[in-house]
Amino acid sequence: MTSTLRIAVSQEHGNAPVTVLHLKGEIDANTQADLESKAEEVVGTGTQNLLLDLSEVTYMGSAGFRAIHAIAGKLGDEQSATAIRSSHLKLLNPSAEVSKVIKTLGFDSYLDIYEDINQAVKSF
Amino acid sequence: MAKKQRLVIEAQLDNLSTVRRFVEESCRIFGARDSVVSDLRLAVDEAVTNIIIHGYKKRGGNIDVEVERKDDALVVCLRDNAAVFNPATRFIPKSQMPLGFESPGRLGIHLIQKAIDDISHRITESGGNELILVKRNGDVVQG
Repeated sequence: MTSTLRIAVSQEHGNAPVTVLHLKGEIDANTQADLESKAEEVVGTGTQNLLLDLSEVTYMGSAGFRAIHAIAGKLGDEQSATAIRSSHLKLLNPSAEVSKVIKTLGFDSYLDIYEDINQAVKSF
Repeated sequence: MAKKQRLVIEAQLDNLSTVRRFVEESCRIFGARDSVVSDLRLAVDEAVTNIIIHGYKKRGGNIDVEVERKDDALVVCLRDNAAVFNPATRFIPKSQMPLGFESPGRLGIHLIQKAIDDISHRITESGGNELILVKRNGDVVQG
């Protein structure tokens, strides 16, 4: 059995254009590169604001968070990583299990997390 | 009920999902609560990932996974023939927790440390690793 991660892309418009990556499946060391390469692809086509929809992510370990760290760097958030919340990368609807890992790693002090996609899109 | 569940896999990243399913099913056979299942699944996934990437350096090999119920604890034993590595030597001082966004390189170790109650390591007779992860608490196992 191999872990799989499906990624669908949609475009939303609030105060600014927002690209949403809808993730479905598991994010581990086997699928980390899929997420990073898709993010790189959309950033390469001009995306400046990225929302990761985690509502159908059934598992996320440290590989997922390394991917998020790398994506933040691609969006230009790296310089403010230690002190300020990310303004270009946000998360939507993580499961309770994924939320627990987010808090364990302290990523919640850097990344805004939303339960409602409209609120998330408007926040950019 | 068998007291021990065992799985042997090739050390490849595309087997991680199989390992997680095995740990999950074994924990449920032993009556573990959901929070215990998710903690052990996470810790084992991180440890096995380390073995594949850092131990075997993606060159392959075997990893032996055993899940056992011992009294009120669940014990996972990982055996490999990779380069000797004890994750406990890389544990993070509490003063540095949580790691936060600026330390992406030690996240897996951090998660193992937080998810389990005890860890021990020994070098096997063949020169590989035996890593024991213990989830211990009075309420680990139902019934």
